[in-house]
Amino acid sequence: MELKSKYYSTLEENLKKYDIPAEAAEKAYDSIQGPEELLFSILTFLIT
Amino acid sequence: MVENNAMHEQSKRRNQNFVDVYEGRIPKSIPISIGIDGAAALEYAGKDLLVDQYSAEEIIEAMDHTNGLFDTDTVVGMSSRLPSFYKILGAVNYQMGADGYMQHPNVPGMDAEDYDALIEDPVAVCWEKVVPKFYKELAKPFPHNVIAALKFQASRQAIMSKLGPASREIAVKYGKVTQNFTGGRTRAPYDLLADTFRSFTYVNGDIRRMPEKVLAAVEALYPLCVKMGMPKVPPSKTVRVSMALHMATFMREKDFAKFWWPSYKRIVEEFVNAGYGVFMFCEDNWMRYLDYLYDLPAGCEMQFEYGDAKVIKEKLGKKHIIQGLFPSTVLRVGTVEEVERTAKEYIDILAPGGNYVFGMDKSILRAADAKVENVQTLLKTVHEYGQY
Repeated sequence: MELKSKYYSTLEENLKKYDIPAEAAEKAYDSIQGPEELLFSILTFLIT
Repeated sequence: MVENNAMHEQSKRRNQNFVDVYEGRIPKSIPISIGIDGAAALEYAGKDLLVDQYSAEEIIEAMDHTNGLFDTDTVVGMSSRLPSFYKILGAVNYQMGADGYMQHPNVPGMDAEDYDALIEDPVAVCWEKVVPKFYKELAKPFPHNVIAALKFQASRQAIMSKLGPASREIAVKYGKVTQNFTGGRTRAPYDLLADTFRSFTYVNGDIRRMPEKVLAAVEALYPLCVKMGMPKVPPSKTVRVSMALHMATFMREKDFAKFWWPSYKRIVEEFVNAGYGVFMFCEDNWMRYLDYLYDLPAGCEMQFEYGDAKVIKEKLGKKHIIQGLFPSTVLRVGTVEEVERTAKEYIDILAPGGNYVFGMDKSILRAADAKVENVQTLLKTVHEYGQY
């Protein structure tokens, strides 16, 4: 079950948002999706 | 070098005891999982909470001292809820008491009229409603809020980047468990609604006044809870998703069965179906809910605070892993003889047949909660008497 929010984007959504080619998905994971996941973990800390 | 090898072997044995229990085998000896909070560790090391918990170096020194003092299986004395983070954020949900201990007041993160927004997008409600209510500095206009957020993250990084490696070094130094058995932490969806969004006080009124919205909110929070807890390491029964269960025992069974239990059972099944184990701290007294717990997928580790150890073992002990129950008050007020006798009583009831991790009813939060000689006696007793 995927989390949907205007404040959380999947890698696919982020590639589109930042205009990054889909072929770069694997190489962009750490630099693009990493911060998204870090932000989610910060939110988890803040709300619990 | 000889000592290092002995410690390495001890770590391996302790790792293996947990692995055996989690994989359904009887271990060589009972693994021990007792919690000692960072504040207690600082106090056992003679440090001042008001001053020393701002420093990673002081915390590490206290952890080293406490782990040397107590022959626990796992590293104790680590805390991630440190005051520097909450001071920078202007927190109202974590506040320092007069003696330096961090308190967690019951603060509602949103109002009743925000239910529809929560049902629509819970993460948005977290950022837009909850975070500004919990943290005064983050409620300020740009750029003050962004500056506070960056300072908080820098402080967290500065401290936690030292505590993590130090904890691993301490595990090696004292021959403690070096394998990480906790893959994630999350909440039961209803508990998240209660703890974070509506508070213990208001949520019970909500289930009378707007039951459909409460059910829809629990459903909306479900994916958030799954994402919070899902481990990022390969699936294994030895990797546990940890949940402290708060609200269930304060509800009437009819409400529990309708509002609390279905989403909880589903989330446990979700983690188990993904290949992980689940640890749950059943806070308070769960005796009236043991049949529900039995229904969860086999191999869940259940720490109990109160209850009848014999009944719990009899009802759940063949299917699930029992933990907890040892009354920590004995460590505070008892003699070493009472500690030894009580530990043996619990082991006699809970250890036969395996599926048991020795634990207490609750963590040691402050040094005054447990006399040093009593904790040492407890650990010595379990190490010696807890052999299969």
